[in-house]
Amino acid sequence: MLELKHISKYFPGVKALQDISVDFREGEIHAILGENGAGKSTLMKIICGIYQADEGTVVLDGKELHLKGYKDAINSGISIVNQEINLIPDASIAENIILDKMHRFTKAGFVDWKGVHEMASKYLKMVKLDLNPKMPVRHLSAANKQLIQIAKALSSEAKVLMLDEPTSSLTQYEAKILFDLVADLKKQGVIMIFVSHKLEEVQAISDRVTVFRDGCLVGTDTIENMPRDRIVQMMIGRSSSYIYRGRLDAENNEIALEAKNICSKKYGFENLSFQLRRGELLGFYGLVGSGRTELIRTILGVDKMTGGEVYVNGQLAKTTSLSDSLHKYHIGYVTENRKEEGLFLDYSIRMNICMNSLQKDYISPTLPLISSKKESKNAEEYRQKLEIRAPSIDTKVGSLSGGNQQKVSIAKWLSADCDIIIIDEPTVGVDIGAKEYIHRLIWNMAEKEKKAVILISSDMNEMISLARRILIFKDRKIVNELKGEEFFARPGEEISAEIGKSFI
Amino acid sequence: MSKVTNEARQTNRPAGKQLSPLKRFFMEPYSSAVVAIVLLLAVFSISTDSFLSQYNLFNLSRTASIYAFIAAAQLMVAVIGGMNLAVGAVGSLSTVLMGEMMQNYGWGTVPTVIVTILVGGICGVINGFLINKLKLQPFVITLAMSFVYNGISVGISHGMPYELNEGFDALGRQQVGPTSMLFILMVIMVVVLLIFFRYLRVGRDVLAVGGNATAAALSGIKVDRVNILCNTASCMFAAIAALLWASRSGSATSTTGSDWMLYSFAICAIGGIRLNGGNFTAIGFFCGAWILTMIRNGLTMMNVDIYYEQAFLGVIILLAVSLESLRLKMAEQMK
Amino acid sequence: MKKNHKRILALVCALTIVLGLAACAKEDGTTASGDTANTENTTNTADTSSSDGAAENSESAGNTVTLDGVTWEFQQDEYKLCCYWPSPDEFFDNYVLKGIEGFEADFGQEVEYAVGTEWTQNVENQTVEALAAQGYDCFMIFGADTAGANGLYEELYNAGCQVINYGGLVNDPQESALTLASDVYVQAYESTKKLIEYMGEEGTIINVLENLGDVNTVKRQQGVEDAVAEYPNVSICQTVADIKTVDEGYTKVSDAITANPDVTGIIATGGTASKGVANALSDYYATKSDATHIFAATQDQSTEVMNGIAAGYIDHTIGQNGYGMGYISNVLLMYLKDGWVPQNWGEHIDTGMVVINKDNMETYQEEIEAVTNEIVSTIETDILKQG
Repeated sequence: MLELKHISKYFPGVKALQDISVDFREGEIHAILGENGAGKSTLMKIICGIYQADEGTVVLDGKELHLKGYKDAINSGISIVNQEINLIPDASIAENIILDKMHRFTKAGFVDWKGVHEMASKYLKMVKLDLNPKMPVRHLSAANKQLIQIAKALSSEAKVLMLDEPTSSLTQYEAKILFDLVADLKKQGVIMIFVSHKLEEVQAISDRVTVFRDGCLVGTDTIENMPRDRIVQMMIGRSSSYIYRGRLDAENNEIALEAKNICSKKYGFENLSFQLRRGELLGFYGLVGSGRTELIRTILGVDKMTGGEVYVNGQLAKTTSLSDSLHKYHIGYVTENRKEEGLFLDYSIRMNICMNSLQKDYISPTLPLISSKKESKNAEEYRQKLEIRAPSIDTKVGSLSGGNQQKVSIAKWLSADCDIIIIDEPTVGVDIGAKEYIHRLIWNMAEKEKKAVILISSDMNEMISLARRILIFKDRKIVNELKGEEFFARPGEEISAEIGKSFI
Repeated sequence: MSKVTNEARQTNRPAGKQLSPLKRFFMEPYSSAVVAIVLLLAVFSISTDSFLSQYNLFNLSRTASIYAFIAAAQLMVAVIGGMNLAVGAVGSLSTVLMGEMMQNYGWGTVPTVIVTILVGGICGVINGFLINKLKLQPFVITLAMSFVYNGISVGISHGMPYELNEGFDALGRQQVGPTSMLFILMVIMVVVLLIFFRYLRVGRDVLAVGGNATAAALSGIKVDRVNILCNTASCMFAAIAALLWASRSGSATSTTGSDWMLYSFAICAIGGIRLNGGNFTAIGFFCGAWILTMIRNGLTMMNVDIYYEQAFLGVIILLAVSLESLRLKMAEQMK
Repeated sequence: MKKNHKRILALVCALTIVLGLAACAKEDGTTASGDTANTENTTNTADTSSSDGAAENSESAGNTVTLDGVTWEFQQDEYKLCCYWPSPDEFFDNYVLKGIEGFEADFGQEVEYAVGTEWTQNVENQTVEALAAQGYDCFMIFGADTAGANGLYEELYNAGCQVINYGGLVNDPQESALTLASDVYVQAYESTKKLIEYMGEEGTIINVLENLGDVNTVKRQQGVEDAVAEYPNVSICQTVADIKTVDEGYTKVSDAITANPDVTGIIATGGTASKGVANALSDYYATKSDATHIFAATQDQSTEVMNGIAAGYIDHTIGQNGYGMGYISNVLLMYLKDGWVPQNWGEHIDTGMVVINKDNMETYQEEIEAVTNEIVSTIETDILKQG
């Protein structure tokens, strides 16, 4: 039995995990659920030794573990199978399985290939794969590759097997093969921890479910006692610390952005429509993959729109590229992956903030040269306004904390004077203080500066304390719309219950 | 001249605590190149009589200047994380076209220069267009195109040298005070690059693409357009280098450029410019050109054993660049 | 939409390649079939417009050629002659090719020639093998690599071809029937001695060498050093080497001149290095106001060098007999094909040299043709024997 006792983990300014106690039993498939940033991946990393817990202990079969790295975890019988496939494509199946144990099959520098292949065959049989171990991995299907990853984990005599979104790259049929194997391993008494976003999968195969939210364990129970509704309710939570910010009263303002019948082949949605008014804060709420971010990417021209029309200020807008969206229609988009897609980590705060607003920093309108003075002034202004904590505006963005990075990426769009701002998951990985600050910032954009704002978030508190109209996304459809200033003046518990109903 | 980057000041030092100017200098990525120049200067001037002679400095400044243009051709694509293996081939093609226009069509110097640079630009547009459209590595595209350009160059010239216009060599041979006209051109070029990357929006767009292409695209920068621009500028610099080289050596043959590709990478790397994109330091770039030129010149000056010359060249380059790793270690300790 | 663009682009690329290849293949095809009579435009065949006189002499039984009163008899009407030169270069265009054209005019034969894209043995092998596959069996080849060329020659013999190596020596034991080349040692030696004469038999010399991995370079260095050793008041102040391109030569020679301000002479014994010397000297006199004349001797008759002689900053250059190489090689190949064999296998036949300076720069071609004719007249007596 693998027990976690009072595990806590802190990152600068953030409590990533708070007093987590849970046990994983032999012959059990234990699902871990939670939205982005709920703490699942931190927990996984602690179990497999990549992170060390700040408080609490991990106990395996009555023995306390002090893992210093993933290698230690493997030696203790803990293995993880990632969503990305970590195999060497041109090496054979056998080599991939045996890779970390090659020394056992080496005599005087020569590899005992017969032994390697025999051992590989044994584990291939265990995962029910009838393949030649000499075959290179490259040509295998994604499902078979996943199975080989599992075989690799088994070959190190894994007692604990963690599956981190193993089906994300698999077809339904392939996923079925995987689940059959998982059920089989269960009989052999392996402890299995299964992380997934797909509730159907979780319900189909797991025995017990643990739900995380905001670094806390919300509940653990057997699958029988956890119907889908209850899981969703637990994941999205009830708003307790909800601050009511007041009214926006934007119902009668002019329409800034209108999407009519948007279709996308890539994401598989059809005829999605919405309107956004000046001074309004519109929320897109839904689980990851429900279509909220995908709709925005399609409208802005990042991905291809196969049908529908976009109107900006009442005019038909051809948003075929982000460049047009920004420069012609003044739409700003604060992305969800700020590190990969939003920021230039190697560059200074100054360069990042001024990236989209360089014309503001010209020496004069007739002389399009960037004035260092104006640029510094501009960057300095936003640094102070947004309270970005850094020694100077010449500090590299990559060295800032998550919250401050997020402030920089918002500052970039504020500085660009966009009329319409779309903000995707603004506070994932951001510490509490910065979170509240960023919320105030977003609120002020709509209330004071009368910008049209779309907030995409899976954080319930954030959503209901900011948005004054919420579109609920489920399975790439807009399933509900919650509106009315009075509605949002109600207690947080009631609003979140109302939102929860939309998912049933 | 100051530098234009991003990598700029180290960030981890606590705010308010001032470092001495010397220490701050060591924090800059170009400082190792400056130190290397000083060391080389000291070694060569002590061990040879004529290294610091007026005439040699004049010659050095001319060679370094042309190398700087060759390196600028690589810089323009290195800064967006690309590469141009066709630098030399474009140089060769430009030389031949220039000779063809002057000798066989009797064109004047000015129109020839303009058309040659334009042709260089067209080569770059083709490279950039193919990289964008075929979505292949710049390595493959520019390698293939380098054969094409070289082939055209040899095809037109059949390896024959061309007669240049009367007076065309003035530019390459003009002495200005203690230095050369070419050196002044080099300084102008470095200043232009500095302005481009520091004060022009398009320069910032280029740095953005080099820093993080996805983020640049999501910030509304047209990455494809930036790519074409950089490739065009790259090949234009190669064409300019070809013109200057012809002007300096007084002859135009298709073999010009055959050794440019490696030098262009070497100068960028020695000057502390990351080849995977995103940074540019004017001083580093400037020093890179001088270091390589000084080493090659100094070896001949010192009259080293010809049979081991290449080994010396390699060792000295290695020593020069290892200063950077020494600097990083020292910078780490200072923090 | 975008997909269509990509498709069109791909199609255009593919078409270009196919058409390009087809065009190339067509050209090769016509030459290979030997059907040149009605084709005006055979790219790689040297000009044959003046071959009428010779053609009259050919008869159906065998092939008789009368030249300056001497009659030559050959067994075949037509010989599959082919010449290879490793990389585009004016020495080939201006001299060797002239010799081939002279031969074609005199003997009424077609000579196919190919010029490589790169001075490497690899490219040479591929090109020559392709030509052999097209049916050519008499080759004159400039060995790109002094060691590697022998392998190619051996291969050609095994395939029933005749080979003459020309231009430069290859390593011993060499695998071609004969080598037609200048004697690089003698040329370097003689050139240096002449240079020292100009210098008044005293002073210092910069010796400019080329690729150190080439046997010819070693012989040239030896030639220069032996000549200098004969004069007690003359010494070599610096040797520069490892020059593969004109530009490299230019830079290194410039540096060497600067490093030795008192130098009185400079000698280059390779063609590429000589171009570099010419460029460096032209730059030197144009930029250094107090420049004193440096005596200079070079190799070959490249444009750069000839300009230098005309302008007075190069004192002489050694003209190689490229004309003779092109002319004589082909005559020898016809003999070899008819069954003659060399008196000494692999013998080096010195094609001679001519010292070109300001006085004879317009007329040296006559001297070269005279040397060539002299060698041709000794073929049956001194070079070959009936097999």
